[in-house]
Amino acid sequence: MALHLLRDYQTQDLITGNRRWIFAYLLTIFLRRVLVYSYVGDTNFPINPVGTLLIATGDTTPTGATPTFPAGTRAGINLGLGKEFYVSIPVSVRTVSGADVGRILALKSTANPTFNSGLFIIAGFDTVTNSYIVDYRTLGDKPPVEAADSINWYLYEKDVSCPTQGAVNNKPSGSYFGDGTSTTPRIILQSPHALGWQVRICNETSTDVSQNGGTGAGTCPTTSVSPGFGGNVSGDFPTFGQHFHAPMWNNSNLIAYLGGAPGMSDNAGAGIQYRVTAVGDDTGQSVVMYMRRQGDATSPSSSILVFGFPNNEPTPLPVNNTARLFCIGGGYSGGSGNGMNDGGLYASTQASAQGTIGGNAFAQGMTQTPFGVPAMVAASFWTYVTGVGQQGGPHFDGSAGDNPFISATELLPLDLVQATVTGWNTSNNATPVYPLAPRAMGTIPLVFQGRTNFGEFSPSTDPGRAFQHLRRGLYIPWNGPSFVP
Amino acid sequence: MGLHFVRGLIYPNPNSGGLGIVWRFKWMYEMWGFAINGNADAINPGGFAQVIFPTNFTGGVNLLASGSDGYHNATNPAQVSGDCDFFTQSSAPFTPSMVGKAITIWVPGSGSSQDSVYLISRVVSGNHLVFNCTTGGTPDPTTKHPSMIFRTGVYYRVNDMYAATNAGFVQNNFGSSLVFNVNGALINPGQGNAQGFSQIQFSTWHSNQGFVFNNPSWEDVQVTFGGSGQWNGSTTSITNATNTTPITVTTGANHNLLSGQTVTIVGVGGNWGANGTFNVAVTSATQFTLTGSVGQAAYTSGGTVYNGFPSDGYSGITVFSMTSNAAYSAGQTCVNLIGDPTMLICHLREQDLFQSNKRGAFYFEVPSRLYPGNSDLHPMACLVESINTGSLYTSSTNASYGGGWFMRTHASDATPLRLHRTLVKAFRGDGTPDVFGQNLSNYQVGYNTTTGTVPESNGVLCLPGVANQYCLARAQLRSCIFTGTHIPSYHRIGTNGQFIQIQNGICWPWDNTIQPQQLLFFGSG
Repeated sequence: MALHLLRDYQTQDLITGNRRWIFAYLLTIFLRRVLVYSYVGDTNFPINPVGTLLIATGDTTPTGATPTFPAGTRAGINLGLGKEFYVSIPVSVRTVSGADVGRILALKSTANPTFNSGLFIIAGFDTVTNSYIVDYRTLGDKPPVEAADSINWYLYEKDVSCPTQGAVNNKPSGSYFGDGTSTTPRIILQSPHALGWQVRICNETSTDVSQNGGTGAGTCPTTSVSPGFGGNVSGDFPTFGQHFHAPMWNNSNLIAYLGGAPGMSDNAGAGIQYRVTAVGDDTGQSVVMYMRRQGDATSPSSSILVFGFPNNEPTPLPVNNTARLFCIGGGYSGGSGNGMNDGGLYASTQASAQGTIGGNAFAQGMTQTPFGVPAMVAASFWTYVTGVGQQGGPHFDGSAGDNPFISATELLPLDLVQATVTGWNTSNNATPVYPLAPRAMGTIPLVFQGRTNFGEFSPSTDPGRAFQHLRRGLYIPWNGPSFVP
Repeated sequence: MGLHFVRGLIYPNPNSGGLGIVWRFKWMYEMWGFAINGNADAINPGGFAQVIFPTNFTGGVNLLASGSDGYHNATNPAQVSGDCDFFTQSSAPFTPSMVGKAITIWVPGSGSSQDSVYLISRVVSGNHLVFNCTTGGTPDPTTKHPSMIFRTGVYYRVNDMYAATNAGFVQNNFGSSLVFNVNGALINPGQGNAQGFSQIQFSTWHSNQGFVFNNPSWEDVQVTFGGSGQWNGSTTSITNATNTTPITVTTGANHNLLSGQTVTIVGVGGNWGANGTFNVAVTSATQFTLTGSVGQAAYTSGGTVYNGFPSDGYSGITVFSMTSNAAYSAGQTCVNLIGDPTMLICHLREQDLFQSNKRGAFYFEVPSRLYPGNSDLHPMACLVESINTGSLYTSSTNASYGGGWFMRTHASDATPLRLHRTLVKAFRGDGTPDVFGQNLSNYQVGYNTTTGTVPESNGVLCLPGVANQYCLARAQLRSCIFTGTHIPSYHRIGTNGQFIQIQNGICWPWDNTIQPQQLLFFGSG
């Protein structure tokens, strides 16, 4: 299993309100082209065929389950001194030009997946070598040399052109409005995992999006991310199907389902830039994505999303494979764009505010019980046996340092526990909507907990930079180049 | 490796007398030395490196009978009376006065969970008595009731536990101690001394605590770790102990000690502040000072130095003060002991006549180390519940909850022993504090009614709040796990009843036994 990185992509759209949909655009390209998730179906989310969003590629079967790059159609990177950030493109496939500057170059490197894979903004071009000059996002490290015809590549349209939001379907009031005849963009991709689980990424309709989580608002984040099985060609899962998008599963916009479709939330408009990092494995087990504010500003806040299959699942495994899937992210947001989980995985209901309570970051997660109904899931942090909840514990210890026994910073896995609360929306005496059936699911594969006083957005100090501390004591695998702090 | 149990044995005591510390030590002595680690010696136990106690504590007149010619019948697993007939083959040592006393039985080398301490309920004849096996035994595979199978070659000791305890409660024996050989190598490869043992010493006295002889409501227990060291136990006589701070001890012969190692001193007359266990600083071949000691009076006579643990980076001393006589003052005591050669739980509670301040417990175990072996060679954890809250708590730095687990820190730490806190998984979805432990009564961590399971968490020991010694996950406890407090007490946990929820979400190891009566703790706990 190889981990691929999407490293510190800087969103480019500063002038339109489309910025809130960029995360979904990047995630789908990362899944489809770097981690090679296959296409199941979509509505108005045309990243699959060459056309409006996919501009060019050496892949002759871009809509197929796996890519086909005939000899001589792959790219190379690092053309030597002074041209380290050049990505050579076969001239037989595409001639580079200034029109491509600002577009997204998706690369999949099998030789250097943590260095040369990812989504890169094209910062320039060189007609002599027919190369793109990419924004490699490094603090000094150069990309390992990969000769021409080594790397899978896909040229995508600028992020300002990402799919946005569409109209509601023709269902009666009280329904979920983002499926069926709705024109809102959504797509279902299928993991290369042996079980072939799928994930639906949907830019929810304005009716379904929750703003401030109040009564009468919708129940969803701006973009929901919903693992499951049985998706159709329109990019939808069926009502009561094998998934845990609670509003869609119940075909309901009941406010009690607020937070029941976690994903990425950002309701605000133009002018804010994010730095997007993601990690995923090529076996299709799981993905983590982090949307970091420039300058680590807090309003709107950052957010984190993690989904897939756990590690260390307790046996016997559920017969219902959907019960083995999870997604934790942001369940809603404020109309200003605030209210995202601020990059934390601490679970919370909506008892006090959207997204953040008392300065801590809270996330919402969903899964399904073994008996086939949506249920909440939360990351289970190690905490003291008495006196401190999951927002405390020793990882917040101000005196924490490297462990003297191993002369390194310790990391522990994060457990997943499902079905311990009856709903994410506990405000307004909301109706309990999820079952109480506590069950440990395993551990999150790509996020670990450690001490919070390690430098934020810093690599571990080992020579290989095995991990990056994001913030709030959350660490992701890295093994990549140095990066801008 | 089977566990040995004393499950809620109700031992009748006369009013008053006896120190709570020594009372617990006596039960630990019988259980650890004979039932768990017994050898072919019915008098000298097999599980101790050293025992420094009066004769009548370990044996003497309070050892009412002992021998190796015992055998016992099997019990009917369908019956729950608990009557188990015990016989001797070639002797007739039993008398009617032994009713209500304790009998320790074991077959050397068997490791059988039937090896335990039981209460004698009847004496039929000089070679025939009946004890109640429901507090021990082995669960029948079908009924899960505690039961016994027929065995011969059974060693036995009949003890008056109360009188033996009082034999240890005399002034001259403060500083008495038990050194337990704990089989660390069974848990962590490479742990322990050359014999594979890590050692832990429990002592009855420390000079710093200002014991008031006329007011035995103050008790101190001292715990000394010797992770890789070998208790020496050789003795040297004392000729003087200065009435100074610290005390300087003079020996009649060369003491051969090294600075930093531990010693135990007993029998110093006059300057009783010299009695106890100390680290020493050697000043000459015949003199050393006792670190942390305070002179109490002029030296008059006597005193013996027991050469203890070497200074190996894994030894250290800590002291617990029982702020009241955590023993019986009237009525009966409920005795719970669970152990194997790697751990021991000793939890004794008094009848509820004077509840809720008569409680105390000792746990020690070799936890599973979470670092590579060459990083943390000899983890050994000890929990002394010395707070009189009236209920069973464990492992928090909050004293109201019963203290925490002590472990030797990293060898570079100047403080030899530090309180570690217990971590559990935050099995809650809404971020509410007090995840497990005394405050959790929330239904939200409850039964999974589909699978019939309950959430359970291992306990991990960490060391927060100490610069340069911080560790997030030092070791994992083996002797208890944690679950929600609303799980009924005495409810068996796990797919095969490997644990039992005792109180406040704390689950002790279990063997799936279904007892015919509730596992009583008396009182509010």
